[in-house]
Amino acid sequence: MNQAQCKINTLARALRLQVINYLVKEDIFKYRGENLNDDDMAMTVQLIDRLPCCTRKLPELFRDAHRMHCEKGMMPHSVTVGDLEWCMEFRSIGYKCEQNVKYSWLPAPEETMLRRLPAFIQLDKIYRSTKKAIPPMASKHDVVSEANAIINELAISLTGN
Amino acid sequence: MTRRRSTIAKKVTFDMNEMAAHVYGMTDEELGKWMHKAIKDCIEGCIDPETDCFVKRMYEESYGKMQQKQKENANTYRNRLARQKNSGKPNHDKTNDPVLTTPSASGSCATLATTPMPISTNGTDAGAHSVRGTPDNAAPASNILQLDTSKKPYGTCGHVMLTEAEGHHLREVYGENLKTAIDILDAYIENNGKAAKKYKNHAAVLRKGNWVYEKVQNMILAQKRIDNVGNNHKSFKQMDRDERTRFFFDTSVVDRMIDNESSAM
Repeated sequence: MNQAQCKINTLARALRLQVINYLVKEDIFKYRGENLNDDDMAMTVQLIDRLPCCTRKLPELFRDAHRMHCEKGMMPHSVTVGDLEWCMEFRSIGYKCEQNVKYSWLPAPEETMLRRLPAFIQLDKIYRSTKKAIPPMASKHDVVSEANAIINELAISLTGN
Repeated sequence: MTRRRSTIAKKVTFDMNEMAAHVYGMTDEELGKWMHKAIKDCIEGCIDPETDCFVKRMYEESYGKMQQKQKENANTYRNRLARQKNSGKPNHDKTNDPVLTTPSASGSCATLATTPMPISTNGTDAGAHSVRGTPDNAAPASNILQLDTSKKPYGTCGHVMLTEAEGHHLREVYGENLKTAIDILDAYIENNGKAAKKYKNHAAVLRKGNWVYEKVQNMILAQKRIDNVGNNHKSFKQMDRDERTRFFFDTSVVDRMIDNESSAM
């Protein structure tokens, strides 16, 4: 994996965490939720990061959670990780996994505040210099695809095809 | 005029002998707590249902005496006004009221109630109680009025004429900027010959809301702006916006998480 790809991977990861951080803070601010200290904020970000939702659709997931509150007859209030997990399981906002959404690792153009995050600004600079939006590639994926390639070669050589 | 509860609390008097009998047997700690509660209740006007009955009784007695005194003072003032109107007629009223004859007879802090307050009677009670009216040794009412209303010149050129009472009131309005305000009006009258005739009441011109007051306030604001030039003083709205931006875009938590992940790898 070359250095540019490593850098893009790191920045994409940082961008995802920063987006989650921003969305949580915005939620707390808008709905006067409980102020989280650093440790609680880190834990919350980690738990939301584990959800199988791409970065592009995360703001939509938060909005869907508030819609869920209204539909249940509650006043919209600050979202919890449990609400997001429930929405992921029982509701759909048009995503399955990262590959199905175009530019899934970047925030949508409408989300102007998310596009002001430092990680996005750095990614934007790299993409403008390379004139290509290179997607982040997980290192595990590389290893698995390489392993699959080796197995395929062995299989071919054993069967003699 | 209704008095504030803290003002009333200052005038509550306790009979020391009765109080001593009431607190007999208390330890130092209990006495301290009792006194603390008693003072607090007096300041709050004894509205707490758990107020000590002794304290409540003393408070109500003192409050009653204060109301009585206020009524007597109001009557005295009314009588004085009536006498001013009939200034030509001789004044047959006499009094030996200690309030009007002694120099410092106005209400003070809580004192021992050793003598009862004089009861107001307008009759000819020859006893120790006083009769309303001016004391024998008091100055005539007309002289008292003239002293109150004499105007003195103020300002660099001495054009601004104010009485003492007006001066006190304006001091409350302007504070330390009163001299500035007087100088502004003084300079205006000096430079405009017609202003001396136009402004009959200089205190009214200096009062809040008029041009002198506005001018002084603008001068204060200008001075504040000059003082704040080097500070890059921001408006409250801008400061609030900057604080919110800092809150939302603070990525220290996330940066620490990434550092932990990279060090773990």
